[in-house]
Amino acid sequence: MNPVTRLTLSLLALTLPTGALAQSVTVKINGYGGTDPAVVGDLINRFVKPALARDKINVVYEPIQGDYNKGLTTLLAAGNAGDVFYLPGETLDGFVATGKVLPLNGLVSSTPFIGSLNRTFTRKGKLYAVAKDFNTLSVVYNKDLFDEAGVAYPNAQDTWSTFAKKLTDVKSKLGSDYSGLCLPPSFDRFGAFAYAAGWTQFDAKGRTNLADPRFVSAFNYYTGLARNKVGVQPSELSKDWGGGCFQTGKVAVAIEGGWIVNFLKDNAPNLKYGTALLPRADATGKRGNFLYTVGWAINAGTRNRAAAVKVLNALTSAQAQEYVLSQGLAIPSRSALSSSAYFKRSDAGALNSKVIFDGSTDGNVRGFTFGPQGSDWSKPINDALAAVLSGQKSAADALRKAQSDMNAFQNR
Amino acid sequence: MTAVREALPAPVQGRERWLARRRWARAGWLYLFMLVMSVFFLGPFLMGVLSSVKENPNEYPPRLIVPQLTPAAIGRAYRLGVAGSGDGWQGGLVPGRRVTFEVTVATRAGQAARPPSAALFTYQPTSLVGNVKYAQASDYAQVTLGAPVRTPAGDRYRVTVTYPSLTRTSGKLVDAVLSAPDGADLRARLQDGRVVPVVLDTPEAQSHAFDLSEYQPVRLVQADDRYVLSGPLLERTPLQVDVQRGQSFASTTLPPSDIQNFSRSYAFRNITPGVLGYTFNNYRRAFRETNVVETGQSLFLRWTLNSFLIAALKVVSSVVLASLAGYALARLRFPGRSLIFLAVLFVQMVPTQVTLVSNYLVLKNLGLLNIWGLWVSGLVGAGGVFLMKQFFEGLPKELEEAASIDGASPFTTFWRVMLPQAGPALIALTITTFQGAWNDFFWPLVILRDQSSFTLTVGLSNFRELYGGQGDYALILAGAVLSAIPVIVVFVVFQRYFVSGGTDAAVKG
Repeated sequence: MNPVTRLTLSLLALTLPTGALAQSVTVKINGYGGTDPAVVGDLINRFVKPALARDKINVVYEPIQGDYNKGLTTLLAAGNAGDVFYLPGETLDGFVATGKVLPLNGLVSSTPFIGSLNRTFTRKGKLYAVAKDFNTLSVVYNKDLFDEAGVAYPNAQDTWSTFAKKLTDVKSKLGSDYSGLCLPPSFDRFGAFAYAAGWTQFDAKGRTNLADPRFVSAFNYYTGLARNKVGVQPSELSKDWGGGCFQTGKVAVAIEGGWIVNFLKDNAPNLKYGTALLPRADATGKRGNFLYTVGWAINAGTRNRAAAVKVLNALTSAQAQEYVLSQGLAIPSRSALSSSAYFKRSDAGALNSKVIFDGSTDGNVRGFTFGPQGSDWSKPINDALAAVLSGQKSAADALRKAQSDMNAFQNR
Repeated sequence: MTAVREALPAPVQGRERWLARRRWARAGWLYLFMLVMSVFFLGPFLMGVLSSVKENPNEYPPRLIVPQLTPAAIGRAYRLGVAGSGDGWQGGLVPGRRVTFEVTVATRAGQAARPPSAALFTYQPTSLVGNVKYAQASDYAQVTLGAPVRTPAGDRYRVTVTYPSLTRTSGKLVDAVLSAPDGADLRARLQDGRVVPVVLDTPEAQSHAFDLSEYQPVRLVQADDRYVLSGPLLERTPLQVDVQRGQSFASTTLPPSDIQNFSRSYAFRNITPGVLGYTFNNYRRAFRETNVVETGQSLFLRWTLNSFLIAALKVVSSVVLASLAGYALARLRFPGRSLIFLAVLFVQMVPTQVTLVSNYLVLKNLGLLNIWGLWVSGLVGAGGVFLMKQFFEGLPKELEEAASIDGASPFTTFWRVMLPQAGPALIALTITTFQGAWNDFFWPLVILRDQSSFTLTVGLSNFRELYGGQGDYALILAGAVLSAIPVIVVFVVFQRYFVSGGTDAAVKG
C-alpha cells in the first residue's frame, strides 16, 4: 500500500460516523443486592450473553445495596440509572409518575406472561414492566405438630372457621410451649384476609376505607387468633418474620410465600412441612391473596433502547425462566411454565411452588402495592394490628385511630 | 515482723489492721470497678467472639460453654474428619472412605425398641445461590445402620456412611478442580496448573457427568496418561436421624445442629467436620461460601485483599505526600504559605458528607468509581500534613543549617537529614492512616459499585444483607471478628511507638 492510499484510507476511517466503528454497546442493569447479583449474573452468563453475542451487547449488573427504592430514585434523578432495572410492583406508581420508565407497548410482547402480572404493571393501558417472577402467600404447616396433636393438616377446603378450629385444637393439645400460627402485625400478610372478605384497597376516588365491614371482619378474624396465644407475633419468639417464627418448630403454621423454602432448607433442614392454599372467607367463599412481583423495566432515558429491549427479552426468555424455576429460586411469570415438570415433583419445596403458582389465580388476588403515596400507606394498618395483637387496644379503637391516620395521610 | 508487731501497743496494732483492711477494701473496689468496666466494654466483644463459633449464635438463653469449644467434642470432630478424608483439620468426605457415627436411643419402658431412621440430606446454604453448586454427599454416599448394642443409657447404633469410589481403576491419587467443560467432556485443572480431560470409566461415574459444576474439587486416579474420576471431594456430610414416638436420643457422637419434632428429629449439618469445620466453621464459611461467579475466587478473601491493598496504598501515599507537604509548610519560605496552611486546616474541619456529592461527580466523570478512585480521593489526609508540619517545626534548625553548609539542596536536606529523624511521627501517621483506611465505610460504600471491588467493611455490610436476612448471624460475626484482627495486631505491635510518636516525639523531636 503506497503512502497516499494509506493516508486516504486513514482519513476516511477518521471521518466515518463513530456509530459504525463503536458497535459494542454496554447495557447496565440495576437490581437488588443480596443474592440477586449471583442469580442475575448466572442468567446473564447462561442466557443473555450467548443470545446477544452476535449483537456485541455487553451486559453489566449493578446491584443497589440497601433500600432499593430509595437507591433507584436517586439514580433516576441523577440520570445515572441502568438501561434496564427492577421495578417493584409495590412502588410502581411512584416511579411511573416520574416519567422515567419507558412504556413497553409495541416493544415487548406481553402475551406469554400471566395476565394478572401484566395488569399489575399496567397503568392507563400502558405496560411499564414485564414481570420477572412472582410470589403469593400460602399456608405452610409443620406436619410433626399436627401429627402429634392428631389434627388434620390444613387443606384447600378450609374456611376461616375450620382453619381457626384446627389451629385452636393444635394449641390446646400441645400446650403452652406451642402455638397455632405466626401473626406478623403487618398489612403484607393480613391484607390477603381483607381481600378474601371482598375489601378493596382504594375506592373510585382513591380513598381507603378501614371502616368497611369487610375490612373489619378480616381484622377481627386475624387479631382474634391472638386470643389464648393460638396466634403469636414473631417478636414473642425473638424473631422478626413469620419464617423465623416457624423455624423454631414451636408454631404450627406460618403464612408466607415461596421464599420460606430456601430459608427452611438452610435453617431447619429437618423440619417436615407441607403447604396449602390460604383458607376461604366464610362470608364470600373466596380466598384472598397478594401477588408480589418485581418487573423488568427500561429506563426512558436510555441511549441504547434497542439493545435494552433485547436484553430484557433474553432475561425473560422461556429457557431463562425454566432455569430459575428448576433451581427453586422463583416462580416464573410465563403462563406456559405452569405445565413444567418441576411442579409435578413431590418434594416439599416443589409442592410449595405449585401452591404458590395456583394462588396467583384463585380468588381475590391483588397486586401488592401501596398506591401512589408509597409504602407509608400501610403504616396506620400495621400500627393498628400491632396495638390489638399486643393487647394494648380494642379492635374498634385501633381501627378508629387507623382511619383517622389514614385520612391524614391521604390528605397530604 | 511479727515480733515487732507484738511489741507495739494495742491501739497502734488496731490502727494498722484498720489500714490493712482499708487497703484491701480499696483494691477490692478497684477490681470491682474494673470488672464492671470490662463487662461493659469487652463483654459485647467477647460474646461476639464466642457466638461466632456457635452453630446458632441467636440461641436463647445463651450458653457460655459451647460444644464447639469443648475438648471432647473437638477431639471427636477431629477423628471424624480423619475418618472422612484423612485430614482431621479440614474434614470432608472423599471417595473410598467410610465414617461411623454413633447414636444412642432410649426407649420408654414397655415400648418396643425400634431402630432410628438415618439418611443423608442435601445441605448447601442458599445464601450462595447461583455461585457454585457443590456436589452433595446424599448423591454419592450410602448410609447403613448396624445392629444395636445394649448400654445402660439405651441402644447404641452405628450409622455408617460409605462413599465408594466411582472408578475401579487403580493408580496414583490426584486432587484437582473441575474447569469449564469442553462440550460435554469434563476437564480438570491439576495442582500444577495443567488442564487435563477427565475420564469417566464406569456407568456410576457417567451418571454424574452433568451434575458436576465448574470449580468442584475432585479426586482423580492417574493411570498412565489418563485421569480417571474417582469422585468429587465433599465438604460436608449432612446426616439426619429420626427416632420413633416414645423414644429419645440419649447421646450422639456430635451434638445436633437442628432439633425438630419434639426432639425426635436430629439434623447434623456435617458429621465429618474436622476441627476447622467444627469449631471454626463460620470462619471457614466466610471465606469459602461466597465467590466471584466468573472466577470462583473467594469474595471474602478478595475483600480482605482489597482492604489491605487500599490501606497499604493510602499509607504509602500519605507518608510520602504528608511528609513532603509538612516539611514544605514547616521549613520552606514561599509566598502564600500560611494561606495554604489555613486551607489545610480548613479542609480538616469540613465533614466528608459536605463534599460527598461533588467528589462523587468528579470521580464518576473521571471513570474512577472503583478502588483506584477510592485511593485517588484519599491520597493524603489534611490531618497527616498537619501532624508532619508540627513535627518538623519541632526539629532543631541547626540540623538544616549544617546540611546547607555542606551544600545540600532542600530536597537532599529533607531526604537525608530531616526524614530519618521523623521515624516516630511517620509511625504514628502510618498507624492512624492504616486504621482509618481499614475501617472506612461510608465513602467506599458510596463509590464502590462492583461486588468484587468492595473493601471488607462494605463487603461485611453486604454479608449482613445476604446472611442477616436469612437469620445466619454467625457468619457476620465471624466476618466482623476477622476484620477486627488486623487493626488489633497493628495496635498491639505498634502501640509503644504510637504513644511516643503521637505525643512526645511530635512535640519534642
